[in-house]
Order: sequence, then C-alpha cells, then structure tokens
Amino acid sequence: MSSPLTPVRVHSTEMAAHAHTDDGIARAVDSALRELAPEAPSPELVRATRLRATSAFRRAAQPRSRGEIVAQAALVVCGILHLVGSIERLVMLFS
Amino acid sequence: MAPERSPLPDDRALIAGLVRGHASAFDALYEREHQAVFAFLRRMTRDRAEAEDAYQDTWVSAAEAAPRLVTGSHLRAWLFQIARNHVRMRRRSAFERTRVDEEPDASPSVGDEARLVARIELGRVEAALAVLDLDLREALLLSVIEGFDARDAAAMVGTTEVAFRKRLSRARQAILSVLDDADAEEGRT
Repeated sequence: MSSPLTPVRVHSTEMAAHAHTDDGIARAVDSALRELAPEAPSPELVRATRLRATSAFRRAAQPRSRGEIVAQAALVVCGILHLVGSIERLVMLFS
Repeated sequence: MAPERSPLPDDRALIAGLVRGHASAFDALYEREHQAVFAFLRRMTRDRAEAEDAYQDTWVSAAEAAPRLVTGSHLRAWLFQIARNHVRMRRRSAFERTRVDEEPDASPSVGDEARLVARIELGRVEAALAVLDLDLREALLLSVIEGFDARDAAAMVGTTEVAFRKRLSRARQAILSVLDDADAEEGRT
C-alpha cells in the first residue's frame, strides 16, 4: 500500500524534483525544517530560570555603592604609583 | 511603580528599560524569547539535560550583561549569540559528545495513518538535522528556523556574510544527502 501524501512527503518529493538547483534545494529543505515543532522547556525550568535570572539582573543593575567606587579608585591610584615607582627605578638604573 | 508595558515591547523600549535596570523589561524579554531560546538550544545540543543547563546559563549571562546593552542592539541576535556561545563553551570543556539523543518518538499513539506517517517523516527530518556537524546545524537553526538574516547570523557566529551563506548552502546539501541516504536505506529494507 502506498503511503498517503503528507505535507512532509510532499517536501521530500520537492527535494528530489528540485535537487539540481540551489534555489530548489533551499526552498525544499527550508520548508521541511520549518515544519518541525519546537520543543518546549518544562514549566519548572522556566520558573526556576526566571527567578535566578531576574535576581542576577537586579544585582547587575544595582548602582555601585560609594564604598565600592572609592575602593576601585584607590586601587587605580595604587597601580599608577607602583608604575611610576618602577619607571623611576629603571631611569635611575640606566642613568 | 513601573508603568504597565505592552506584552511584546519592541527592542528599543526593552533596551531602554534594561539599561535603566527595570526588572519588568527583563521579564518581558524572558517572556518573549524563552521558548525560542530553549528550542534552539535543544536542537543545538541534541540532549535535553545539556540544553536545560545551557538555557539557565544563557539567561543568567543575559541578565548580567543586559544593563550594559547599547541602544540599537539587535536584542534577539544578542541573546542567541549568548546561547550559542554557551553551547560552544560546554563543547570545548567536555569534548564533543557523540551520543545522539533518543530517536524522535514515532510510536503509533495516533489513530490516523496519515498523521502517523507525517510524524515519522518529521522525525526523519529532525533526525537528519541532528546528525549534521554543529557548524552546519547552527547555520540552519539560526537562518531557517530562527529567521536571522545572513548578516546578523554571520556576526553571531563570528564569520563573514559570504562565508555564512556558503556554510548555509553546505548545510542544506548535507541534510538533503542525509535524507537521501535514509531513503536508500529504507528502500533496501
């Protein structure tokens, strides 16, 4: 008994009929792929991920406290002073 | 309290909200894209557990980076790039998996023969997609299923538009060849 001509069977036939042209292949492959049903995440995963991601977003979006800004600025200043000291030592070494 | 937002705000409104740190904007982005991100990851990884891990990592990374988005970003491309990067990172750190996930379910649970045949045919296309190389599968998923244009997709995978188009053409040829082989195999049995 022959198989009924389902939508995807039609795509397979189209693929064979148009396999000699790039456009034909593209059309046939693309339409077959678009028929595929996407797989959904479980509701538990959706809920848990939403919670986790939203709290990560809130943390990332929080303006930094004054203490954090001062500490970071102090680190930058220390770094610059260290660099200047190193350069001075190099200059003295070669002078 | 933040004003009520439309269910699917456009990228510009969403980005403005994300940059200002509005959790409602992040929630709207999640609502808009979470199904598509999961479907993409599921097909990229071929493994449900791996897809679930990558899904969580993708959203946490997106949440952490969202306040630094720049106006005019292509939000969907940005998100899918994060998703594909997570898959790539996982592959790099855990060796390429060779295990193909279970065959799509084609058990005769539907009475109608035409519907059953349609399911088997869809299963063949899905199985053919699953055996393609990751690069080729990714090209088909981004371009054909997710609908990104070649320029955006090329930027996401870090190649040129011309190279991406070539990759896409190779991917179409490859899936066709896998289906042909399956047909020939079926003919022999």
